[in-house]
Amino acid sequence: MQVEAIYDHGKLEFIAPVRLKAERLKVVVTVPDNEIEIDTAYNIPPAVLDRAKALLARMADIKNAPLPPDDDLPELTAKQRERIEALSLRDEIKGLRSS
Amino acid sequence: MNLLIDVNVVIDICTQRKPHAEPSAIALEIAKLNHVRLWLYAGSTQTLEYNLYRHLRQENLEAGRPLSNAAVLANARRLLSEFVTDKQWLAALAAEGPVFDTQDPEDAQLIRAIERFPLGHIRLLTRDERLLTEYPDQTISPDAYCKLGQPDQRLDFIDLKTQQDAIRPALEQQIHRVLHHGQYILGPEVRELEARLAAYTGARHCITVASGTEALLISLMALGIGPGDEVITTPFTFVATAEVIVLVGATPVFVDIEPETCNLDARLIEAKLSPRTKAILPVSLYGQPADMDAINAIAARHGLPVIEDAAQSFGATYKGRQSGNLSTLGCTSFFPSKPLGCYGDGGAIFTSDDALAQACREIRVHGQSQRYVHTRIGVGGRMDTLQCAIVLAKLDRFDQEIAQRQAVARRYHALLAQPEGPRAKTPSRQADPPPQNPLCAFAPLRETFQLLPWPQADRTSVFAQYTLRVPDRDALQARLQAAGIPTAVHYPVPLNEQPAYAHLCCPNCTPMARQMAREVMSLPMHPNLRAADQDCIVAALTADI
Repeated sequence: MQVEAIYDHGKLEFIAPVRLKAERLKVVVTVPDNEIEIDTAYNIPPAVLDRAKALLARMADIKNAPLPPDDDLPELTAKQRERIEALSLRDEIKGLRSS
Repeated sequence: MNLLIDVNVVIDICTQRKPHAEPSAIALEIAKLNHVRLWLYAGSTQTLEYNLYRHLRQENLEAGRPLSNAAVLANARRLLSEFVTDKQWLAALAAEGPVFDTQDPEDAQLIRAIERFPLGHIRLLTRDERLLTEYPDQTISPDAYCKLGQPDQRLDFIDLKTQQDAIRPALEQQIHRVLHHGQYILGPEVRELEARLAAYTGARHCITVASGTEALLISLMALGIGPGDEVITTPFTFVATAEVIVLVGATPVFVDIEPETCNLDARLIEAKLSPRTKAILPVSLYGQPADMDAINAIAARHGLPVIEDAAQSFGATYKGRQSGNLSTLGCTSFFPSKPLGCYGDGGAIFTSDDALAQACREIRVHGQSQRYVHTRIGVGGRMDTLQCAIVLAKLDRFDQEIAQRQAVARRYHALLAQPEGPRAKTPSRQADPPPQNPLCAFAPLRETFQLLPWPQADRTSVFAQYTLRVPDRDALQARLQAAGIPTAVHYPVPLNEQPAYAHLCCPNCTPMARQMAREVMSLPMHPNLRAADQDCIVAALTADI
């Protein structure tokens, strides 16, 4: 489920109280892009930073662009499904390294 | 430095994965700014596709957007198609296959691929802690890359790498095709290249040979030139032109050059003819054909063949005809730095004379007319199939690259031209340039410099070199070198003043060649020379004016 929270000096606080079973758990948080500071410690020309932002924005646009209806897309073949399973298995074996 | 981009960095950028996406994107943009070549390993395409698929599927599930598997895969492919557009694919080679005894086969493949490059020329851009720890000299993290200082920018006199980027798929296909069919000598690529080059020039025959020098040597041998004969040629050229004349036992007779083009001065040829003269061998220097009609007319009056040394001018035109097909025989070179070069030595002879073509074909294979029948003295002068395959990979882009070279030359000239006065425009700028050669109507250069190879109105140049006449050349070269700008001199000593040839002609017989040898200097020239680099070159060149 999605719940709203406020970030305040390193802590997340739910707007409405939510009782959780575990003391510690992984959550996914959506942070607005304009609230994220790019590390300027690199001493990089602003134009490069702008191009890096533009690259990420371009990829985000593609990622979020509407997709053709499922009927227009080729269904995954048995071979492709097998590869997906195999690669998932590989990730398990590798202990979900940073890839 | 080159960068090989690991899968995790690609996924970071394609999914905007926080907090890694920003440093990864910045690292790539810094690399692009510094003209660093960005590679993706061809053996990683499946890992790229399915890892991205997995991340996108997970992301959609977490966001409560249950897309179909087909839709997620389509999205992954869309993202990767965009990401790879400005990257180079690094082919997976056989030595990178047997990696099953390693801890992580895919990582082992990447490290082996990196080991193909000279030490320090490439790093794997990765966030993989194990790789970063175990291979500190071969890897770098995006964060660390962002913190590197600005690398020293080195300007190349000739840039073959950018050309290679553009033709890599065709190049690798051609090379591997030869490796697989195994006809390394006179294979199908040799025949294909000869047919295509003959069609390009309009000559009836093209005979590929081992080098430009070999092309000249075989041509002289096919014409039967030998001891006691004389060949008219220019002293202002690469030594091969005269060397081959001496090698067949004949004597080069040097004729001075035109100041406007540095090519053989046709007006001076007849005074040097003798009963022993057996051929005229003009050189189309710097990429511009010599005055071939004038030379051919003299040759015709005296019953002499003409061999055009088109080593630098292949692709140029003279009165609408292609250099290499302007005389009895034309010879060119595919030396790597030539406008159309291979990756070693290579050359070609062009002729529309059937008998001469047959002679050239036999001479290049030890004078063999049929297997083990040697009807004339020959040489081992064939061009390797592999080298022909490389030229074939470049041929489709050749005309485009000539146009790029001409644009670079035009820009050099515009930058070096005298500033126009507010009232009086330079007459040559007002004149309508001939349509076949718009390059020839430009303003004169600043007084300090004189441009040499600017095309005459009736011909085009491929600008194998962009050459100026400059005062106090040694000091200027030193100053440019200090500014990181390479220059070259083509050629510093006329051949009739070289120790091996000095006895063949008095040193003062060709005063124009002697003067040019003291003054000429070539600037960086290649089809991919950037405008910003040209600006730097010209700024350094004109700094003291």
